[in-house]
Amino acid sequence: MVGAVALRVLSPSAGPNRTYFLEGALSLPASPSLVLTTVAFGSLLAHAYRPTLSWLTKLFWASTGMLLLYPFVLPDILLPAFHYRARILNAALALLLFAYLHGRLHGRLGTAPQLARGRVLALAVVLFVFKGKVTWEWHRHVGLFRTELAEARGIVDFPLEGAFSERRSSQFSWSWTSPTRSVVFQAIEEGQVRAIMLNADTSVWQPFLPLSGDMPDLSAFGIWYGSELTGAVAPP
Amino acid sequence: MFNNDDAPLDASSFRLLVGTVALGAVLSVTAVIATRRFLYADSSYFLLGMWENGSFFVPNYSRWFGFWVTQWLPVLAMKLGLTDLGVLAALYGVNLWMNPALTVLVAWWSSGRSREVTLATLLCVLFLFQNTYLVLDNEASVFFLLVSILLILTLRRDFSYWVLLLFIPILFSHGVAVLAVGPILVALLLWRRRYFSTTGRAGSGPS
Repeated sequence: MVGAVALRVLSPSAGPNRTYFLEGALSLPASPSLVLTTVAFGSLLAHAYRPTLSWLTKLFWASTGMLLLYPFVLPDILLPAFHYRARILNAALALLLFAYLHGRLHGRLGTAPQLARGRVLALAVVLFVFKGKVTWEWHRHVGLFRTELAEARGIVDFPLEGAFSERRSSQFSWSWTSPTRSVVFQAIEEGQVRAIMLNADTSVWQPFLPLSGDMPDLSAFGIWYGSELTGAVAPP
Repeated sequence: MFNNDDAPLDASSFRLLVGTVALGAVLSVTAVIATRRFLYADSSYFLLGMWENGSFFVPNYSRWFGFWVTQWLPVLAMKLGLTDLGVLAALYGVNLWMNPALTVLVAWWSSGRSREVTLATLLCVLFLFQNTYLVLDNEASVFFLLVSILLILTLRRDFSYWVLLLFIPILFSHGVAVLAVGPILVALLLWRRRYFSTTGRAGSGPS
């Protein structure tokens, strides 16, 4: 049993492993944000070891500047899914970076890097501005999602037209989570669930089947489904 | 660690950078919680599962470690009788995002309040913060590994046994994590030779 599990998890030939790993690897160069961030951090550290190379300075400021402008100029291609797919590879990269820095800092692998305080500060501020813009775009997407459900009752189709479906917003959608999102947002914000949006592709796997009346039971929290969803009368 | 376009790593430089990052992180995470950005991807599914179970929700048991690490806070609140779904959702968001902050705090503490080690950790966390949309379950397990290795390196012991032990939860965390951290294990073990050959302080195993 343990051997079978270990084999399934470890084997690169396993379908999910291969898919995730390849998707992650391919996402790294495909996302402008991932590339710019990596270049900015890379040039920051490289400059710490080779401060005389002026092109590293130019590269750092160019990539950091583009990182600042990019979410405002090209909000349609923030590509959060790419960040999601590449998260393990990025975590691995950060871990290696840390191990290297730690070895340097303790003088065991050479001299400690001399980081430029101004650059580190500038990069940190730019990253937070970037994240602020991404959060704003998410907020916009969720606002459009709420608008789609505002007057709805019962099961509603995924909208194929309008601002919600345009790339700027739809990049924040997930292929199979429209029904779960519908339930979660209304349960939190309204205390009841009166409408559920279907996925754009209704043939994909999903945790429950709204069309079959198979809804998550949240009665322990006082959450009930509207009669349009269950066919039953909601309690007072 | 700092040079001068700029200044050496004195206490004021350290406070300036840590203060800036802390302020940015607090503002950023507050915005994330307020807008529920943590519900991107499949997080709404996990949250719904926790509500239904009234406990941990582990839909894929090969990732149990990551799920536990990222769900313990809202689960604890439910066990204590909290039923406000808005608060539980916010706690889930906090739980997802608290691992980077914990990493830096542990780095600071375990290194004897070393500015250099803390800033090195901070840089890595900033990189991850930017390059991953959320620090989700799998990343949490890697963060755990990072903190643990930090502890071990700081303690200057022979860490190969610990690395192998720590990889056990990683093995059951996610197949992808194994593929990604496998090369790291090799790198660390090779690195260890240089690390200890320059210090001459190879210690015993776990104690």
